Amino acid sequence: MNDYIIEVKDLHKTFRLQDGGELHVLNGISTGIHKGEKIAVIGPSGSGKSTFLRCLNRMEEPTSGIISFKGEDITSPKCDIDHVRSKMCMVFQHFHLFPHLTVRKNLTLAPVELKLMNPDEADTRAKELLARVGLADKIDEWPDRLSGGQKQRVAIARALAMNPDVLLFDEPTSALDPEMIGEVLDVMKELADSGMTMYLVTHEMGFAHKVADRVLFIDKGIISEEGTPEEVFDDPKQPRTKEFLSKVLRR
Amino acid sequence: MKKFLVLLLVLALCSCAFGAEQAKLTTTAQLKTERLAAQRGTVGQYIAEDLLGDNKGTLLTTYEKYVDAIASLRQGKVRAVVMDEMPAKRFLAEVEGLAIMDEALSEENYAIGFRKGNTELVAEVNKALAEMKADGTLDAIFAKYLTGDYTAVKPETIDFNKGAKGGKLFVGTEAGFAPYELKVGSSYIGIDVEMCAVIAKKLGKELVIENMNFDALPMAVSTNKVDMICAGITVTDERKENMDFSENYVVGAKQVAVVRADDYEK
Amino acid sequence: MTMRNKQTGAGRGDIVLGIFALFLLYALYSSGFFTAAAWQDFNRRFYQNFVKDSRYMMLVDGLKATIFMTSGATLIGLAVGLVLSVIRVAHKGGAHIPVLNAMAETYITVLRGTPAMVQLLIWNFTIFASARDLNTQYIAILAFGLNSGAYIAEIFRGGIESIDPGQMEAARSLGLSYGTSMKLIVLPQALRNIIPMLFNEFIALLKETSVAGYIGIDDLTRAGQNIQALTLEHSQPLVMVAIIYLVIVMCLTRFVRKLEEWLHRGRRG
Ligand SMILES: Nc1ncnc2c1ncn2[C@@H]1O[C@H](COP(=O)(O)OP(=O)(O)OP(=O)(O)O)[C@@H](O)[C@H]1O
Ligand SMILES: [Mg+2]
Repeated sequence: MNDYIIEVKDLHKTFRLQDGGELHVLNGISTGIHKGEKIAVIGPSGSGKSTFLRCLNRMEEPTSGIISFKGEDITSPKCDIDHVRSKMCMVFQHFHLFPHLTVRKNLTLAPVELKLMNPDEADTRAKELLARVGLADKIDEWPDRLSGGQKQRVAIARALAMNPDVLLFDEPTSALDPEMIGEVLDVMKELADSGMTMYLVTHEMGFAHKVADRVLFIDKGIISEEGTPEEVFDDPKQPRTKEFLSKVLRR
Repeated sequence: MKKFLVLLLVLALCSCAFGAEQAKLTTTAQLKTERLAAQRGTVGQYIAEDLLGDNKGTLLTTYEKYVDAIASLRQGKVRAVVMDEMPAKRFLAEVEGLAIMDEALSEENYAIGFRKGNTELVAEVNKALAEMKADGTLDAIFAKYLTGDYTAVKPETIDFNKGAKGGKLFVGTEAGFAPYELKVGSSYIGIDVEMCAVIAKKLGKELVIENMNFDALPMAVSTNKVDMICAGITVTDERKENMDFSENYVVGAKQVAVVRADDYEK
Repeated sequence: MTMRNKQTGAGRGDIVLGIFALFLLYALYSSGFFTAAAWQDFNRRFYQNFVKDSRYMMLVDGLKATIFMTSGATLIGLAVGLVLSVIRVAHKGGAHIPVLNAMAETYITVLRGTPAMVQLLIWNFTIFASARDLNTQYIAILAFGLNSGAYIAEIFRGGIESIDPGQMEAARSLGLSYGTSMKLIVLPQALRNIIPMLFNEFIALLKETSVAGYIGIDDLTRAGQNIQALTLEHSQPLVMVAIIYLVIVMCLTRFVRKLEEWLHRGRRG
C-alpha cells in the first residue's frame, strides 16, 4: 500500500483554548489517498472533518503524527510547505475569492507569482478553465458581482489553475442557495470523472455516494468507519454511523 | 444634538436678558471682590492674586493673550484686567469703551532674564546696557515708541546684525506686548527688540528672536533654549529665585486696572 | 476603530447647520450687525487686520507653516506607523518577536495616552533643549509625527485586521508565502479602508498643530494671534483663522468621500 499520494499516520490535533484548557479534536487518524481516488469525509458537526483537511496542507499545524505527500514528510521543518500547498489546493466553503481582483486576476495571480507559468500561459489557462466551469464570459467581472454558485466555480477554477495533484474540498456547497448547488456539483462531477484526486468534506450524501471511491466517517476525532459508499451508506456497521446517517438522510 | 442647540439658544437669550445692574467702580480697593483677568504668567496675574487673596481661585481668570483678557472684559465676563500701563494705554487708543483706573496697583522695574548662574552673559549685557543708558541710545528707542505711531515702524529698519562672526544671541520674547515687542510681517519691532538688537551688536552677535508664549519663557531660558528672555519682564523676588536678571532698563512701570468706561466713575 | 475625530454625519448635519446659521443670523441681527455704521466699522477693521501693510501675508505664511508641519508630521507618522503595525501584525500572525511587540505596544500606549501638546513641550524644552539652531518647525514635525505614528499604526493594524482571515488562508493555500499574500492580497484590500482614515488623521493633525505657537512657531493660529496683538482686535483675526481651517478641512473631507467612492468602485455592499 505504498502508492498513497498522501499518507497520514497517527495524526493528532489539540487546540489550546484561550481559557488555558485543551480541546482534542483529532485523536489518531491514519489513512491515505491514492492517485485519482476520490474520498468523501462525512461526520457530525464538530467531529474534526475540517481540521483533518486543514492539517493535510498544514493550514493547521498538526500536534503530532506524520503526513507525507508524494513520499515527503511535510510535517518536518525542512519541508517547503508553500510548494506543497501549490500542488494540494483547497476549495473553501466561503469561496474566499480575492474581491479586489477581477476573475482573470484571481486565476492568474498565483501561477504567475510562483513562476509556474508566464503571464500569457496563465491567461490562456484561465480562459480554458473558466470555459470548463461554464463561466467564460465572466473573465473580466469583479467577484462581488457573481452569484454564490458562480463564485464557487471560479474558486474551483482558481485551484485548478495551479495544476494541483490533489484538491481538498471543505463543504463547497454548504454556503450556497439550494438552486445553485447543482451547478457546482456538476463541475465537481466532471472533475472527478476526469481523474482528479479529491478529498471531499461534505454533507451532500447523494453526491458522495455517486462520486466517491471511499467514504470516511469521522466521529470524535477518529475514523470510526471506512469503506465504499455502498458499505458505509447502505450497510453501516457502527451504531454512531447509523444514527448519523438516519438523521442526515431524514432531512 | 438639536435639543442641545435649543438649550444653548435659550441660555444665550437668558444671559442677555438678565444683565444685572451694579454700582460703578470708583477705587481699586473695590477690585478685591470682583472678577479679574490677567495674562498668564505676568506680574498682572500676581498682583490680581494678591488683591483677591483667598478668592483668587474663583474670581481670577488668566489668559494666554492680552487681547483675550480685554475681550472678556468687554463682554462683561470680568470687571477689570490687571496689566502694564503701556499696553493698557495702547488698548485704550485702539478699542472703544475702555478706561484705566487712576490709582496704579503697583510700580515695578523691567529687566532682562537669564538662566540662573549665567553670570558671564549677565555682565556683558549689563555693560552694554550701561553704555546705552550713558550715550542716550536707550532713551532714543523709548522716545521712538512712546511718542510716535510705532505701528508704522518698519522691521527692515532694525539691524539684527545678520551673519555676525560672534555667533547668535537667542532672545525669547512674547510678541504680543506693544510697544515692547510685536510681530510685523515675518519680523519683529518694539522697544525690547530694538534694545536687544543693539546689545547683540555690542556683543558681536546676530540677534535671533524666539517668539513664544509668555509662560513658556522661564522654561525656555532655564533649559538653555534661549540665551536670555526680554519681554517687559518685571523683576520680582520670586522670579529672582529661579533666574538671574540684568540691571533694570525700565524703572517705575505701572500696573493698572483696565475697566469698561461705563463701569467707572472717578 | 481608532479615529480621533468623529466623522460628520451627512443629512442630519445639514439640519443642524441650518439651525446654527439661523441662530448666528439672529445673534448678528440683535447686535446691530446689519446697520450701515456697523458695516463701515467692519470694513475699517477688516482693512486694519488684513489689508494694511499686507498683513494677510502673515496668515499666508502661517498657513504655509501649518501645512508644512502637518505634511512633514504625516510622512513621519506613516513611516513610524508602518513599522509599528508590521511588528504588531507579524507578531499576531505567528512571528516570534515578543520583545519588539511589547516595545511597539508601549510606544503606542504612551504616545496615545499623553496630550500631543505635552509631548511637544518635552521635545522642545527637554530633549532638544540645546539644539537651538535647529528650526523649531522641525522639532514640531518630529513631535507631531511620532505622535501621529502611534495613531497611524492603529489605523494600519485595524485596516489589516478588518480583512477576513479567509483571504490570507486562500492566498496561502495556493502556495503564496506570508509576505506575498500580505502584499498582494491583504494590504491592497486593507488600503481601501486605510487611505480614507489616513486623510482623516491628516485633518486631525492639521487642527492639532495649532498648539505649535506655544513653542514659538508662527503657524496659522499663531499668525492670527500676532495680528490680534498688532491691531488689538479680538474677533476678526481669529474668525478668519477659523474660516481658513474650516475651508481646508471641508475640501479635504469632500475629497476623502470621493476617494472612498472611487476606492470601492466595482464592489457590491
Ligand atoms: N482554531 C481553533 N481553535 C480552537 N478550537 C477550534 C479551532 N478550530 C476548530 N476548533 C474546534 O475543533 C472542533 C472541530 O472543528 P472542525 O471545524 O474540524 O469540525 P467539522 O467536523 O468541520 O464541523 P462542521 O461540520 O461544523 O464544519 C470544533 O469543536 C471546533 O470548535
Ligand atoms: Mg467544517
